[in-house]
Amino acid sequence: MDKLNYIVLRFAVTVMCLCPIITSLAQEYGTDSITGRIHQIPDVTISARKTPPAVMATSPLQILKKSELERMGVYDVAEAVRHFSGVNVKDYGGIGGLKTVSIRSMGAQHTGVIYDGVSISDCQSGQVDISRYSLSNVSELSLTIGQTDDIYQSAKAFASAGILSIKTITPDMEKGKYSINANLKTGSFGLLNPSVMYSHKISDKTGISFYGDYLQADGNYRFKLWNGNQLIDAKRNNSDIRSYRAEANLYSAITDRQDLQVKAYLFDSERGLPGSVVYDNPYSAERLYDKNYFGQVRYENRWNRQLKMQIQGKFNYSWNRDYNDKSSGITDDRYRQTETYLSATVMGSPVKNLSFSFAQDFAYNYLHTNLRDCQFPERFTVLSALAARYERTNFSASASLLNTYITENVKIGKAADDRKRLSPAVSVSWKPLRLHGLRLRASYKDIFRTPTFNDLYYLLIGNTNLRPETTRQGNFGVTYSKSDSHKRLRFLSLSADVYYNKVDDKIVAVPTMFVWKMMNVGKVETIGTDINISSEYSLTDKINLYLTANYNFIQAEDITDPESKTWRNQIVYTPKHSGGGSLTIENPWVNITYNVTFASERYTLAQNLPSYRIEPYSDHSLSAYRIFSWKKHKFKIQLDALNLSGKNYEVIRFYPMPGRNYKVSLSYIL
Amino acid sequence: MKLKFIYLTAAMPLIAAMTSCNNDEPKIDDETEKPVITTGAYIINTGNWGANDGSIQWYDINKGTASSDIYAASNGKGIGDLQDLCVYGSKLYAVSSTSSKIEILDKEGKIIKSMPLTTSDNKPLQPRYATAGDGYVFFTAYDGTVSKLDTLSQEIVSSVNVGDHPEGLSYTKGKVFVNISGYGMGNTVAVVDAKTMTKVKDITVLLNPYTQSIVGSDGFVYIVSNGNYAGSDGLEEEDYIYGTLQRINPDTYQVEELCNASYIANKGDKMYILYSEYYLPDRAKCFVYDIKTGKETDFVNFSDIPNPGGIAVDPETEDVYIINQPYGALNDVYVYDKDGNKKSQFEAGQYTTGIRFVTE
Repeated sequence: MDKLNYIVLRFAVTVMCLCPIITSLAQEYGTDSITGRIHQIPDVTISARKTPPAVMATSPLQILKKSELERMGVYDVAEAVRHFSGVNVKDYGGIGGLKTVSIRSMGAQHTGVIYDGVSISDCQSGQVDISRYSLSNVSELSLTIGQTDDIYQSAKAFASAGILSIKTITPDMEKGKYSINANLKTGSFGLLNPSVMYSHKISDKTGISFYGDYLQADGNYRFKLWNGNQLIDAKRNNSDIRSYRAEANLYSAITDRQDLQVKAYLFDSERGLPGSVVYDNPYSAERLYDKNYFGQVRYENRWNRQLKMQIQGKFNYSWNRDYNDKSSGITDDRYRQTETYLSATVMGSPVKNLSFSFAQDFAYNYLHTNLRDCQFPERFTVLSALAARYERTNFSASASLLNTYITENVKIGKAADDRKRLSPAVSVSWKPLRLHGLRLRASYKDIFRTPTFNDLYYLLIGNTNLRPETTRQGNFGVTYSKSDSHKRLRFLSLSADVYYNKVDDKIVAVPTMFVWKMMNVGKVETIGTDINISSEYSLTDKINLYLTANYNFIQAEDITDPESKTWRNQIVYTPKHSGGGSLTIENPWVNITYNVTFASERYTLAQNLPSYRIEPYSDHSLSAYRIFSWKKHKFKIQLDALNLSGKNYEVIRFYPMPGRNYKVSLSYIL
Repeated sequence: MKLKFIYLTAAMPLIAAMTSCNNDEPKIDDETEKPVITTGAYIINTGNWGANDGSIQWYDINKGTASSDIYAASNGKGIGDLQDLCVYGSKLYAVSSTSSKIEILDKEGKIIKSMPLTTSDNKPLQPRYATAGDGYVFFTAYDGTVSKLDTLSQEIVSSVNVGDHPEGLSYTKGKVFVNISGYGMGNTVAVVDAKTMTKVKDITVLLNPYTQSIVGSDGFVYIVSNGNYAGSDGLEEEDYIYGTLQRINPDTYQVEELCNASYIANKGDKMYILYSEYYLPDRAKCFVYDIKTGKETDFVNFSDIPNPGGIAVDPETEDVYIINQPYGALNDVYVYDKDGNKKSQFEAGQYTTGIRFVTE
């Protein structure tokens, strides 16, 4: 009873935090002050009167379009994702540092990352390093918490607790025969980052595009960090990075009803892994080499208005090498993994407002390493998702059921048992008043993450008896939006959600008498609130203000064992309060954007002891840019000052972030 | 509406200001009460990998409490990691592996001399374990060496290559006996002549001699080989090598296999033993092995200790200390009398790996 009261009380507190201000980082409806033209945003109906999808979504959905990303002055995916509500970007610092996304305190392995419709997977670690994706060729970033309303998706898109979707720019066929977008960025820590995108319209129905970028930085920034009363004033070392990326796309509308898209992707990098700051030992020599190649194809056939189908396929090869030179000798570990993936989705709308979809996925994963006692695991995954959606102006609902079947083989030793599981999700959205932009939404999703190959088979640490880590998410929210291009406040969107999550059988490394071992030991209960606001305000005819802000409250507690010292402690690296905001002043001279993100204290140990506390931080940045046009040519120059306070705050303990730094970016658009 | 907007705009930097951090202030308070070092033990808290949370605590036997980190209290900073602590003469020799240093401390933990350790090509030496005898401290390091530290001049006088990944070691009769773990693949104990610092012998023992190496009350060297993780996948039962206690005659180098063991502590004829095999949990036990008669007697119920991580015995009272390492939390030390009755328990630090008794 006491426990129940406690939960009720926490809920009450959470709901109270829910002031009626809110949002989804929504679409933009402004005009370009320089050219006076309306922005052409591909794939989206441009109408100030249409309600943005984020507001209509039955589960929290946040979207950042290219124009907003440009306005905010952000360059990489990780930087942009930090502006989403309800996410925590784990950042090991620096340009080459690992960055992963976790949603509402669930581990990064619960976040699915989708690149142009097809999921990116890493069967070895289960998490995707988003620092590898640049924003230069991205048209839209979106984050769904829970189940997306778009039921016309691969089954894989139903298989995680949340989805970060990256969409790249598709060539605009309405425009001229070709277009070029060239960009050069340079800045602190030896950053040099040229990129170029070229798209060409071959025929009325076919277009191609090529994208390439190169990035280098020495990354060795100065930092200050206290060891007790002693100040460590040093420079990170071995933080350099060099990476190449190239992409080629073919888009073809074979007929009016059929589309084909083909993509080839190449990534190659070498970077230093500086490691954590260790007292009295600055040595670091670990190097990471990555190669990632993939090809993906999407084919769509719309037979009629009621029935359509898409088929997607991908082959992914990734290779990495982890090299270190220590006094005990050189270690040189190689990992190679492949994925073969096929997906087909059929969607039918037999009656008005109602649609059904069925998606069937198959994936094959294989891992090869040169580690001692490598078991060479392979995994066959079969996913089937059945979904339904009902949609009217004032009411919409989605429901889905995912069936997972996984079987594994190993060349040496014992493979994990087969896994079978049914995972349901339901969500509704209701607009109670016809003329008022207020909506209520509620959703529930039950999903899990499969143990990764590292969890299962890593030398000594791996444990083939692991069960999947399950999550259950319940969300309730209100959204509101209004837009009127004739008023000063042209656009306003608010959203507030409260949620309750439970993670069971959390997979963690636990020390046993000899070795650390992966175990299913944790249970986490999370209560939280996400509040967003997005607005556009026209000060004069030529001056517009854009404001987005979000605030997140999260209480994620360990409820594994009432007898333990960690009972009801906040789980590691999870700030209770966090958020961010962005304010842009758009004017005919120089557009200025101020960005901020902040997080309250966090703990690095399950037992929340004061000595394991990380200080709160806030990160402020300023960007200024201007676009010059001459005939068809456009030039953009942008200056950024990042982390203005200059403090080497830590997101991960002993990985200090770079202090104040600067970037200059020049773009040419034709 | 206009007002509201400006309001929100103004609130934003305010939120940021509210949460902005103050990392300009040091964290250790000089006022921390320092313990009086009399009768008790030093607690070795190794800390987590790369987390700089190793510490040294003083356990006061009469009070039954452990102090806060005496190193931080005396030096105003953290030690980094603490792999081993050798108490010799009136000083402490603290071995930090990831921080790659040996520090000579006074009894209160104050630094007398700090020695960063690197190889000739500037790689961290990563020292591991230390032992002392005849005015010297000997320590192993991951560059495959044992080094000799003169406690008078406080200088490292020489070192010798002994083998891959040397770990625990002990000193007796002018010789140093070094476990050569070979990162799990080694099966020798190297013998080094302490005077000339030359390797005189490789004694073959069971696979993977690791941290445990002590000189017993009978003058023999006792070591534990961890074996090959018996019960793990792909290993046939006839190939199992269990964790085993072995006795080495320091004169003849003869090796004798005694009984199963993981962690050991000796007092008189009694060898207090913690034993478990990860893959064969039914074998786990905590018992006393009589080194004269070979008789095994149950000590405490293994399941009473949720996550055992080490054992020590007080040379005076013969109380037995067993370390419990809960996940994600401060470790605990359970104190038993010599018959296995639990007397008390106290909280230690992060990843506690050893207890060094000081007898006046």
